[in-house]
Amino acid sequence: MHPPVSSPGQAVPAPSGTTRPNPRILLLLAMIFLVLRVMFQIVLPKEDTPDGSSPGSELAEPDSVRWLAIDGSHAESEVTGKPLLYDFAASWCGPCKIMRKEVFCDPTAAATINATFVPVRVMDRKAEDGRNTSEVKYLQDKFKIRAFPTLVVASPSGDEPVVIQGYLGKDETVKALLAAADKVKANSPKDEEP
Amino acid sequence: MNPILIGAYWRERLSSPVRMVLAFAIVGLNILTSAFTGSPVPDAFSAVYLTLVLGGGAIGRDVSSGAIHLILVRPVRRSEYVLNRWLAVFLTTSLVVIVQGAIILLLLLAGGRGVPFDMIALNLSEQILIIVGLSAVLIFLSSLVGGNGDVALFVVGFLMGSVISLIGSATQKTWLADIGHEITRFLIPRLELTGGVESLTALAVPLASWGFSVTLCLALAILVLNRREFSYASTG
Repeated sequence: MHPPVSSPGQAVPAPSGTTRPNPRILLLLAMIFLVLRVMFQIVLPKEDTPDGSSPGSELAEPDSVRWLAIDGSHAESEVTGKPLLYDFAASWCGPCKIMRKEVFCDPTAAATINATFVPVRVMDRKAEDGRNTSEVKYLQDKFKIRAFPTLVVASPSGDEPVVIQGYLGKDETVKALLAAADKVKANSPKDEEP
Repeated sequence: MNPILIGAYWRERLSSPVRMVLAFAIVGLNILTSAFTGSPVPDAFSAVYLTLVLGGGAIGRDVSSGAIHLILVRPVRRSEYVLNRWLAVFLTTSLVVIVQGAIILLLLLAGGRGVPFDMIALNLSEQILIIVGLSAVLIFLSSLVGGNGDVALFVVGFLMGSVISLIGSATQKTWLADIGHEITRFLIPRLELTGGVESLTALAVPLASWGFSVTLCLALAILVLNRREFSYASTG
């Protein structure tokens, strides 16, 4: 126990009891949290419980946009003449989830996107799996993706793509996407008449 | 809450030019990124770097410099010292993150862009929860090693967790990947509010996990410090 520290005119009361009490309350709280953690993991349905490996995996859930797989998207874009819209996202990315909720889950915005683009979601899995598939890596390298979310509007040839980095808000994003579609269409070579 | 202990911590942090330069660099980069991309929120993960810079060596540096001898001869319980160090770390870092958020908000308003206030509030809460959790982890690590060794321990632990989960994923061993995830989740306790507020059940496990990391780390830090000798004789 410490002796009381005192100076003339100033008395500092010394704490009573031991100066090294065990943190019983904190240990008890830690135990309670641990029990709750294990209990929730067992009791709660899996789909409602982020499993830690992919918290926020709702990006993988369906929204109002008809996302195509990377594989068939190129051919689809050539056939329909619509530019490709790549949504580069990651499950841990907060702004990606907000963009999904505000833009891709919004029926009007989603209808515009479905009508104008061939939409392709490119999910980064580096944090979860340690690496990305070769297709995802190829696209990330091709468009020099450095941050999430990033939207890329490109023609099937991939020339002169328009890159929109970050989430700009719903209206700004839709506006920027439509402008990008016009730009890409204007730049892409016209099909030769037979 | 002991304002003298917290004030002393602030003075010590402010007197370190390296820490200040790094903290300004992180905040500056976040503001510039938001200014150029128009994104109203910085990545919540940037709070991790800020906490490491501003909170590294919170106890270890006192031990290395011998300042802890001077603190513990005063009528201060060791648990009080640990909890006030934790408070000081997360209050300092949270304040920096709030100022950073305010600057970004002003830039957005000045640029005439739409400001999603709910998104900014959620992101800010998410960052502060990371800071509160990570501060507790750093305080525990700092009670184990001197100087800024807690930051090195954190980096090593995080890399180890990532490598284990990587090996687990590569070899299709879920249990191994889960161990790796648990290590990284323990080291960076976080709650993804931006994705999880719609369903409380989705928050249950991360919330319990976060609470477990925070309380266990603080309890362990107090236990470790209680068992260490800090008399002048013991330092030789």
